[in-house]
Amino acid sequence: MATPVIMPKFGMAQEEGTIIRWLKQEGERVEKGETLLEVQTDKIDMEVEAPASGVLTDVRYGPDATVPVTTVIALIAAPEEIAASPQGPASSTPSAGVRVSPVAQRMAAATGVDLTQVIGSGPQGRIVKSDVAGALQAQAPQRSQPQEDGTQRVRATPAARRLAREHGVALAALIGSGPQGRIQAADVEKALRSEKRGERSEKEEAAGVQLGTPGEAAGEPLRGKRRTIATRLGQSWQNAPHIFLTTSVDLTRIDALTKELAEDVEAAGGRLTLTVWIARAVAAALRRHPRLNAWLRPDGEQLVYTQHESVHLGVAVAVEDGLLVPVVHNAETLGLAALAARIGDLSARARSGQLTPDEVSGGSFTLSNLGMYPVEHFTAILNPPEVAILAVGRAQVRPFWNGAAFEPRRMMEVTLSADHRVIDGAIAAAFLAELKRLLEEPSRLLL
Amino acid sequence: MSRELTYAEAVREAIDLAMARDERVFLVGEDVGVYGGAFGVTDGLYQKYGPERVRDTPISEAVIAGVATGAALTGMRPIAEIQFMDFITLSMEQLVLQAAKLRFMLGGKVQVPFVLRTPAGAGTGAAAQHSESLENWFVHVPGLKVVMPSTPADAKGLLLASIEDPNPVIFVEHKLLYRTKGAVPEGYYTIPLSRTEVKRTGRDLTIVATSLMVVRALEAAERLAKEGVEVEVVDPRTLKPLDAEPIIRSVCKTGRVLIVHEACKTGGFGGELAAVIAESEAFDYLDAPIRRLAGLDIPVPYNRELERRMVPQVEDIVDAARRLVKEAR
Repeated sequence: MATPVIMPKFGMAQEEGTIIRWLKQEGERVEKGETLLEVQTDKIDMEVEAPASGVLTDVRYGPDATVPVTTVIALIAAPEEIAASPQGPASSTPSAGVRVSPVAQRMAAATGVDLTQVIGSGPQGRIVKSDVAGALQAQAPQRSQPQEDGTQRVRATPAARRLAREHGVALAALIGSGPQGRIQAADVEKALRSEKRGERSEKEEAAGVQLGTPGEAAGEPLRGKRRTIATRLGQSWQNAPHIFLTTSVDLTRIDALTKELAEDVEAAGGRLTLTVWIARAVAAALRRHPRLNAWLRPDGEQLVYTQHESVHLGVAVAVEDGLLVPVVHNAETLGLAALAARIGDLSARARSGQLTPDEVSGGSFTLSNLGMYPVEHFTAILNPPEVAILAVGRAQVRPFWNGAAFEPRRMMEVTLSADHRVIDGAIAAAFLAELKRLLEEPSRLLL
Repeated sequence: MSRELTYAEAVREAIDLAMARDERVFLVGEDVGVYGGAFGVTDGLYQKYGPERVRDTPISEAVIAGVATGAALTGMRPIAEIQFMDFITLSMEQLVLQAAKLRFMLGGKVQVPFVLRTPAGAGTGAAAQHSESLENWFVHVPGLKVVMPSTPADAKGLLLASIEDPNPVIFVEHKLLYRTKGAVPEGYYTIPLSRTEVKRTGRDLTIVATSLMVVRALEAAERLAKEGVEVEVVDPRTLKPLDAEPIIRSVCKTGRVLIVHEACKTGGFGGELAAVIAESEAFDYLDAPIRRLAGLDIPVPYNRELERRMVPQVEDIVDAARRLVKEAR
């Protein structure tokens, strides 16, 4: 019986492959696991192994042929057929005088073991079944060498896969201790333990990867909140094409109003900070420019854009080991005093680690203020799935040309980052202009 | 109170209790009366209950199964015996086409409450026609229940539950178990059907075994414990309907499973067990392939050494378990 050679499917989305060249010719003897041909997919070049031992026959496609995956491209005639035929390799028949049991003979024929290379362990050196089995096993390691290019499916037990899934461990980076390098649950557990100790993986050791010069401090793998931040921001930066728009805001009127209102706000349990003013203005501006008050999320192959009715304003708060973004839900409904109280409460509880999951999720726009540092201007990375974020720099007194002379004014720079996939520059600019106007003429917040 | 009884004595006690309690219960089979059964299981019952209730039949397994089915339909509670499970082949039509289906085909208007007891298994040098384990043939047939106890106490409680059951029950005993002893509670008690039992707890490997193989698995577990391998031995006891949950739970715990039965591997109950495990949430806990250790796919040989080789022995179980644990460590 002949074994079909098919166009393999190397990738999930791969539908066809192109034959680069055949390394074996029609009529040539091949061993199972030997490279038969090279195939090109849209991404990579791959070698295709012989699925069985025998003679390559019926090669149906030549070089440059593009063939759908799983199509039969050639056949390998079984060794029995070859052994029976006069063209069969003579070397596999033992020389006269060598004794072989019938089972061993049949087994050797079926598996392509060269009996002249087998030493018999039976009576008078007769080759028996176990000798052939031994010879086969000796060949096996060379055949089952895993490919190093990472395209081969990782051998791992279901339990190891579950553990890897649960702990975010990449199976491909592990060395399996099971049969033929199969990754066991214990291997994943070991990797998790060594990750905790900050050790290098065995594979890195085996590959001789130099991670640092001797004596250098050991690296610390990211964990917990920090790992989540790293993953989310990395994805955001890579997936969302950011645009940045900066404007400066004259704080003269806000400063005057703050003096007027600070006591009342304090009486209501809050502190009328610049953040509160900006939050108030952002909420109002977003009501007028709702395109920025939205999410952009992948759903399967598609991207889904969702605009929010209410403004759920995230306010970034630096905490000891990272960053938290508590969310002021329905921020547009809150007046200055209520907003001040709410932001004060959320920030305090963010620092003491007492926020509930609801209070750190569902944001539709984020505000990040580094004004307490000598940072004049910065750009923020989008907080997915949100499509915009506002970065606030330090307010400082600057010379301002009033048309006749320079006068000192307290100014600050704010920078809007927007996801250019859904937010055009003009839309972002219109929002920013609105925001600037609301902050410079805060009486408009009453409208 | 319980005392030591052999498996055969426990089965006899169950029959005795059922007959004393319910006059609809009667025995029917070849040599079950005056002779006391080929393995002496029904010894003394003829003398106690007389020829009306302990009935010897001609050598016709079709008749035995037909009588049991017919009597059950009319309201009796027959306990039929097929002397060797091999000869159940002759009663297949009555069991598979009649007994198993009548309740369904008549819309539940009749019941077929009989128990068909039969000794299975090799190990007595009785050759290919007196040594088979054909339980899985019946597992495949909807309408039949299949019970396969491994201890005297289970045999008694499960037999009484089988007699009470309103459906035909194939009750598979093992020839080599008849003389094994164990503590058996006194008096009338039942062990519900479809209740898998963990016979020994362990953390490294689950062995699911049936009938005689439970005894061998427990002995293997004892030996492996000395090497530091803790084996959990699980006994389904009722093959159909199967209580899979304890098996799945055990595999989730140990991550490795060895299925052991005496019947030939191909088409045996182990395949069903393996599928049940692989389909369950236990899949994500497997740290090694599910392995089966079962009878070789050959007729049972007459030659005693070959017969021994054909059926899993304690050392085979130890060996298979050791390899499974080692490869997954």
